Amino acid sequence: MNKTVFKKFFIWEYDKEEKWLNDMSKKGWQLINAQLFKYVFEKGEPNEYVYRLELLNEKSGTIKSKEYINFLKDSNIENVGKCSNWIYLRAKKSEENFNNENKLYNSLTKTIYVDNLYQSARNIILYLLIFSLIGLFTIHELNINTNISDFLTGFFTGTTIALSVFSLIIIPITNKNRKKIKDYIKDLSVLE
Amino acid sequence: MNKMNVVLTEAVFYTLLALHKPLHGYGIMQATEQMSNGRLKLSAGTLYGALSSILEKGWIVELPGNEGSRKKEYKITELGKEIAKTELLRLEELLKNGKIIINNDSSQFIL
Repeated sequence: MNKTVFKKFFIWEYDKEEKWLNDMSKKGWQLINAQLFKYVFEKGEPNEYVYRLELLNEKSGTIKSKEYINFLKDSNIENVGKCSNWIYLRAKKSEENFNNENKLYNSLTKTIYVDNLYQSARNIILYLLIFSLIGLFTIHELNINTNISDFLTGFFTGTTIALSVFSLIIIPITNKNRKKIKDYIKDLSVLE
Repeated sequence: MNKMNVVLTEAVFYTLLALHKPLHGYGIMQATEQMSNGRLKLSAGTLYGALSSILEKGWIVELPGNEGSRKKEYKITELGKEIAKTELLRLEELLKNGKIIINNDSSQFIL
């Protein structure tokens, strides 16, 4: 018996997503396929499989990634889905090897990936903000008095305010993520 | 030869030891688990990373596959054996000093 679930997880909610998949497994629903927002489950035994989200190395390329996935398969770790650079892995609960190894390193790579996303967002917001300010300044300096210039002034004022608010919001989010990275690095310097 | 201060991870050291005989991935995991008395269970992710790195460094080689089998086998190289020997010396130094101080074992002073 199968069921399909549509659920939205943002990229930075990977921990939440992984927990949800394992909670479903606890209820007996084993994920057999995952795509963007679409999850297909098969009814099985409670906790039959353990699920984990993993981030592929972007520099690896398709061949290396396929090699890696095949290598995992030889160790009884199945790939049940892919979304961008993320893969959905599962292993039978009895295959303990899957569970805790490399947890620190994996968490670190994922946190860095999200940090890169936040950085890109910050940069886009910054460029748009500068563009809006230049727009406002130009219109003001040109001193034209038409309906269009009034509209543009309003438009650029609006975008300047909105973008400033976005940048204020994203800064603490980015810093919280950065702190996570620093903590992982500290842990790594003590333990292997 | 300039001996850099090479410190190997457990995964790499045991992989090098295991590959004194040709083995594929799963064989390395089993050998490591056995040598460490069940303490060290290498995960596929860890092992894959370790194999890729030490392959690049030339410490192991990939053996030509037999009959187009997908499972690759690996074996240690002469360079890999040198690295393992250097690591063994480092571990012996740690062991000796540990015994002297923690175990109060003065027999370690005898060369």
